Amino acid sequence: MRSNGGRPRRALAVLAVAALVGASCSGDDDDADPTPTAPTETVPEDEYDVDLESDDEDEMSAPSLPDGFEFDGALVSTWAATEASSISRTDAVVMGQLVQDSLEPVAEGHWIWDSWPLRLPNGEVANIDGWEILFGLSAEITPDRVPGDRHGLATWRMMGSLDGGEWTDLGLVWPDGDALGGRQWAGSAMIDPDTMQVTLYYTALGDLPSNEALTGGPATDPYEDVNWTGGQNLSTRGPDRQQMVAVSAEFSLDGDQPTLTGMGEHEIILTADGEIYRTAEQAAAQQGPYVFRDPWWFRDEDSGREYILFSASPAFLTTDDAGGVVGLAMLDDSGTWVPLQPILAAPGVNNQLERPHLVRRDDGLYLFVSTHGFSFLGDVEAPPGLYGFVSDGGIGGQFLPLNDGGLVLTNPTSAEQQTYSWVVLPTGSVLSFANYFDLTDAGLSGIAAQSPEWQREHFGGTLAPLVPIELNGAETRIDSP
Amino acid sequence: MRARKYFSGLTLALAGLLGISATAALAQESELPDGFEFDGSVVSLWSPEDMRAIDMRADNRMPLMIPPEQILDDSVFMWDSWPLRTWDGEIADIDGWKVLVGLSAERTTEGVPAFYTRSEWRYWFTKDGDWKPGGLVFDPAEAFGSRQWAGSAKYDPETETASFYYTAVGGDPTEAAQQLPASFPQGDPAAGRPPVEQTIAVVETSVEVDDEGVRFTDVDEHREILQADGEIYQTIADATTDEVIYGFRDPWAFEDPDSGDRYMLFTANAGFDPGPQNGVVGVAQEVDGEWVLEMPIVAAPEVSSQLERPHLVWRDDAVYLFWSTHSFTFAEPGSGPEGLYGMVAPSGDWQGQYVPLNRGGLVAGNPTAAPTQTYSYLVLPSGHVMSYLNTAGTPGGEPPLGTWVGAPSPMFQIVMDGATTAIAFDGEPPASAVRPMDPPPPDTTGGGSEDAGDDELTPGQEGSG
Repeated sequence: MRSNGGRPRRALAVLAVAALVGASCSGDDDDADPTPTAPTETVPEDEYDVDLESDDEDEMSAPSLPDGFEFDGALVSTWAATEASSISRTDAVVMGQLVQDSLEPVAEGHWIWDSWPLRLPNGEVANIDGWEILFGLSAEITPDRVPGDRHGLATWRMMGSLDGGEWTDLGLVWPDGDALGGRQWAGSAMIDPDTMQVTLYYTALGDLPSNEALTGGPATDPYEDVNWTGGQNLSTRGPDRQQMVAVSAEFSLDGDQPTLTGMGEHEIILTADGEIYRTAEQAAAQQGPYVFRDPWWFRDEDSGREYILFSASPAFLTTDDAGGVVGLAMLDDSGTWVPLQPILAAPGVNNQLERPHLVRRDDGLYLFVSTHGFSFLGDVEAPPGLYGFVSDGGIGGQFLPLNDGGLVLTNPTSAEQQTYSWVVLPTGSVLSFANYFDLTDAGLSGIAAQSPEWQREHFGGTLAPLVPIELNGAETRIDSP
Repeated sequence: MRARKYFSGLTLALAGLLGISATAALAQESELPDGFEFDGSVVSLWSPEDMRAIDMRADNRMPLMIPPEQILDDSVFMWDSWPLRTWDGEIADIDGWKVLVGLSAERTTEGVPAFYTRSEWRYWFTKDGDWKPGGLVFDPAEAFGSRQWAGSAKYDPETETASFYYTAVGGDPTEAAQQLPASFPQGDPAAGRPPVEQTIAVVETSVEVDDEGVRFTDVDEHREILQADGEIYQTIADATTDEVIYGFRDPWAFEDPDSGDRYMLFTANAGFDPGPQNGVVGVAQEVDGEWVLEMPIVAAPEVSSQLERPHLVWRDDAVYLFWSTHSFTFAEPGSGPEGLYGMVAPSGDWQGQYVPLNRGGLVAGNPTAAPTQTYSYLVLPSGHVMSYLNTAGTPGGEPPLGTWVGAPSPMFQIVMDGATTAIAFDGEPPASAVRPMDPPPPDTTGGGSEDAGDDELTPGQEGSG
């Protein structure tokens, strides 16, 4: 294991030669030879960590590739079942237990879950005259509602913190219900500091206008991850269409209170195309997962272009274990968002790579996703958590799983659902929400059997404390707060 | 002579273990007295121990590939392909033109043809990255064999001639349907191979280029230059492998960078090992215009019956040997993914001792979810890996009709560092236009999939290169 981000070139060379000896001095050296049963334990880790940078020297003597030989087609990084299955819950990735009684509601009378900061175009968290802004999904808490209902009620709220003070509720982002879709799921938000224009990217769920209540339930679609929480206020018509929407507004400090004014037209910018990304109809026809959501806007520093990462199901893989992908779309020269190939696929591993986002560091581009334990496929058993990958080659490069298996942050086994929906901020601090506490042995699937009071009492529904993590090449660890 | 090289390799390796620099160790090596270089040949092994160490990890797992919307040439199935190269190994640049040669079969309307059976050599050329078809390299009727398999192509700028080294495969293709090998079910595009006796042949042509492209003219008489001898290299009569697997093929001609002598590597089955898992990387040398069989450089007894399309890549400190192996050619209970395998000769001598890369030899395996997405790999001097899209886009290895792609795969790269390699790809944002592998199901609820028309899928900046 490397202890630091630097890749020791000399040590690597010696290890490589030592590996040659192990192999060439014959196969009867049991200590050096990996066995089929436990190859990962006997092969020195560094042997496989070929230093791409030091190889540049070798590559200098290699000729470049003539035009035309970069044949068309797409290369997609994959997350392999062998990696996800090899995850171990070390101190580096398991967070401490969150004390539910210590939590404070941000928006009184409302559940808050997925949240994300207002960012500058370079990805930094915006600070406007001392104000930092968070957006989050919210639903009003009423006596007839259980936390599982919130997915069918979700819309965006704005929260603010002045000069690092307490977070305060700034109200609904679309109080008039003029957003698209029956509900609005996560998203991202960016402010142009020159014009103070804010652009919001959200997921519109369903075809109903948001002021029209959904009826019936419970939902029959297992991939809206709601059945286990007993949500009632959901569509019964199969998977609700998920589309990505952009809308812009002016940011202003009205009477010292941040507000969004002049909300523009809500524009559908991405709909599953059916070739790269699975449509609701395709998902229904093959009774497979349907994910097309969580737009995360970013500007690529190398090309200067605007992209959106999102969570999706592939249309180009159609088997039951096709898994989920991290999708990519690009704003082309005509101002149209066009779907590109995904940057990561998890066939046979996991079918929901939720809320993908990036953190750029000198030693690589980090990609993070959230996933539930029940989203893993087949024999893969892995905890709900924040999973991560790193690329040396930018957004179109090869993403390798962090910490060998991909797991970056998970809840302790004593409170396995205490947080979810993680966002790694540029500083390395991880934002999430307080989810369920003190569940029965049945875990998430046991929630619906409990009384509404019990369900509400065991749900956090507010921001969780930040957990700092250290990014160190292909490894991460939880940092001291 | 070979024995001495074997020991040199060991000395070098031991020096590395002791922390002595390789140069110093060689300087201290005392000369072996005359007479101690006893006769006999030593062949490097891809051993059962190596096979058991085959382990696909992030660094040797190929990315998932999505076929392009527009393939390089949609009039044919393409599979094995290789660039026209000069004898120093570089991709030939003839007044700016580059040439790709490959095996092909015309696409027909009757579904997927038994394309191995109809294999023909075609070529394509480009100046700016846009490939144009050149047609057949030579008239199959004048070539040896009922069809021609891979191969290599050499260009000599002095004489402006090209030499095409090919595998002449025997038998009458029309008899194929009655002689399906048991290992390929009826209806499989790889089925329908007629008898597969193989010899190696060459044909030389003039190369003419102008603004329009590249033409091969003045096609010389084809010459059959190598046959299995039954001693070093097994004949088909002696073969114990499945006849789909038996090999005496894939000539890869090259010039030894030290001596300037010309050699070829080829895939074969050992005559000195009954098999069936007796694949070897064979060697022949050109001596006074004739090609002479030599001992193989690598053998895989009890490992694999097929080390296909062997070829070499030189680096400053070592020479790398690569080949392709199908997952179904391994000795049970061993196994490995369909992929690119390789070994390294740390001495830098291509006839020296080889050890497997990444312990087991696996350099780039198809991901488990798409186990047959690509095959037939060729590592170029830059480290870029050519292959062809086989059943890309469909997982599980059981493609429905119409999902055989038959076009060059997008390139990924491998970086080599001693006995380890790593797959890399980077740079450009991904292409947008991918080929739909399955037509979307009928729209049952009205709306949705037609929201984004095909024309919206091509971003302005995407080029074909």
